Amino acid sequence: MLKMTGIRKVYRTDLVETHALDDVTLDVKAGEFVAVMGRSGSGKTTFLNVAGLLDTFDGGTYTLDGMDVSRLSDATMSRTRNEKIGFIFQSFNLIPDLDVFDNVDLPLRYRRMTAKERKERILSAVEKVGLSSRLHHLPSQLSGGQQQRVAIARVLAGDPRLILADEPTGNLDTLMAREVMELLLKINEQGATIVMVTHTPECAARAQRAIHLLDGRVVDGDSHFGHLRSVPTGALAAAI
Amino acid sequence: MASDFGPILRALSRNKARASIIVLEVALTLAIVVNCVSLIKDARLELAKQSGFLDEDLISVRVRAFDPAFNEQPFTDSVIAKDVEALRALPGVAAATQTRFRPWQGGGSSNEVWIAGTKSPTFRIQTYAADGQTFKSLGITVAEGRDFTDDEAVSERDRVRAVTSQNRPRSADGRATTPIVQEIVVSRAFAKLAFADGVALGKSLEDSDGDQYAIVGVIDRFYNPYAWNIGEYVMFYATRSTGMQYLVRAEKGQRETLLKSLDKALLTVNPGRVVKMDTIQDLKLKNQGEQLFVVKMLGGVIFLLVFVTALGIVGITSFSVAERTRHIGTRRALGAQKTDILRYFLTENWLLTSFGIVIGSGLAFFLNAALVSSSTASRLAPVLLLVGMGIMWVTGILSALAPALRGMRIEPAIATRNV
Ligand SMILES: Nc1ncnc2c1ncn2[C@@H]1O[C@H](COP(=O)(O)OP(=O)(O)OP(=O)(O)O)[C@@H](O)[C@H]1O
Ligand SMILES: [Mg+2]
Repeated sequence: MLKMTGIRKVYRTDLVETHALDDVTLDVKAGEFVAVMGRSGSGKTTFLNVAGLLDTFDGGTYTLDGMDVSRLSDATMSRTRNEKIGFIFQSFNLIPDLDVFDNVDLPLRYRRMTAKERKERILSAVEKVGLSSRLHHLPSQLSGGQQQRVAIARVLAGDPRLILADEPTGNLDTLMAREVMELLLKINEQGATIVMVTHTPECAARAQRAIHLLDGRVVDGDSHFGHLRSVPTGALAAAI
Repeated sequence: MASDFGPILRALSRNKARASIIVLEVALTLAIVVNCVSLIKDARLELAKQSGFLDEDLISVRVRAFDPAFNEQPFTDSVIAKDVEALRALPGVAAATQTRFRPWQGGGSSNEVWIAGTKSPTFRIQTYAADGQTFKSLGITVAEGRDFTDDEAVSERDRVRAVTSQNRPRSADGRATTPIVQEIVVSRAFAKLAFADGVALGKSLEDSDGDQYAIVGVIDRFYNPYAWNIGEYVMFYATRSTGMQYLVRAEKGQRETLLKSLDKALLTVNPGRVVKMDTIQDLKLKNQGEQLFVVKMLGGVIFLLVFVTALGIVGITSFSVAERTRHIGTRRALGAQKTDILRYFLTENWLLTSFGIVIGSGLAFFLNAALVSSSTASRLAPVLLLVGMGIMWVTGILSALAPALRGMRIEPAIATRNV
């Protein structure tokens, strides 16, 4: 699904050159749930930006869903994001002037879908996250957990192959974080590939695999959290 | 793209304060600008008008006496007679008369009349005294009917004094007990206004005192700025007015020379006075100076208003874009093309500008109605409003363009940045 070989990303400012990603090579298979870990400044968000075509990279090759995305125009990158990728952000990134319905509608409008199809998808996605009764609430009228669930509904409505999440539980308390994690696991079970940046080992533990970044390099494919893999995903899924 | 209006409108409805600033700004600017343009159009028409007389050869002479001997009316009358004689005798003078009327004086006296013996509408009309030399002095001839004679003017004088007297005997209905019939010369414009067939000669007018005015002559052209839009309507009646005020017409090219000799000639008749001379062209300039000023000032007002409105829209749109940087990044992350972002801000602006234009059009007509009823302003031409609407739309779009382009260039990676 996501195959990177020797990816580099350099940020240049007047004073310093930051090698935010330095020779990153990794392969995420379709249907996997991968956690990305690492301390602050290690390049997790940069990795997600590159993986999600939000930013360009300076070296290496990147194949997304079988498509070489090294040299795409801005328009093609936008279209690919819209059709293949769903984003979940730490601070939810809902549009405050739009209600739940219109927020979930956003990616569908950019896909130029008919009003009828959009409506069906929105209602079903909002139902899946359990917010059908809040369809015309504004983000400011929802709790943080509810807002993140709206953001998840926004992803679900678009039905993407790949979901990228940057610390989706970072702004939530434990209970809400658990709700969100369970939703993500359920979505993953239904076939979507998920790459999730997280600081918390508990969240990482529920992924199938963890990748560890340090100063822009992948230091460890797997073994770091090997002991956490004893948590049976099947049992977790059943718990939802 | 009509399908995009929904969410944009809903988002706007949650930002009413900011939205209404643009709407109001556009509305007020449109209403004021089209009315300014309308007033400028009026002023330009006014500037292009002709008095109907030989303005460039005419000199207005006003004399003020300080010698107490002038307190006696018979003495003054005798000096006036000598003055007129002296003026006519001057080399370079084509004609001269004693009259209070001067072209471009702006205002004067007026009366309300109707067609005698009928229930016709009343017409407001300027009224001035004239004698056998007045039209000659103005440089015109009576086009239809006849001019006044000098004798007529002299003999009418006492009767006209009686007409205008405050303590004239009146009956219970306010009409004078002894109505007077005067012979008058009217302007062609008035003839057309009052009489369906435009034929005024031989007809009579009547006023609220019961006095009658028999039309004996028609002059082709007349214009003197006056309130109530009666600039082109005039009646001259035969009489000598009182007062040492003269109108002198120089022979072609002699005006400047005359300006040097006129006052001396009058002071030779009687030195106990001060003589003030103006060319009619100066009076015209003074009168139209106001119009010229109006044109310049309103032009400035239009420029400033449009400029300030444009700045306002640039400012508010820039603010919206800056404030929504993160939302724009999010939209881009979710798949919005750069052009989608551009279109979003331009559509938003277009909607606000259009609201403003709709409200502004209504306001423009209100404002115009107020101007029409309180001044000589003319009705707002719909074409003007259409042009104004077009200008506001273009102003709106152009003002929003730069900030919208800036919004378009916001990077999608902004979405993941945690501030
Ligand atoms: N736009 C940018 N311009 C310059 N340097 C940047 C930019 N974005 C990130 N960096 C630098 O790149 C490195 C990686 O940053 P990144 O945001 O990917 O870290 P992170 O692992 O997501 O950290 P955190 O856990 O705090 O979110 C950091 O040193 C950061 O300062
Ligand atoms: Mg980060």
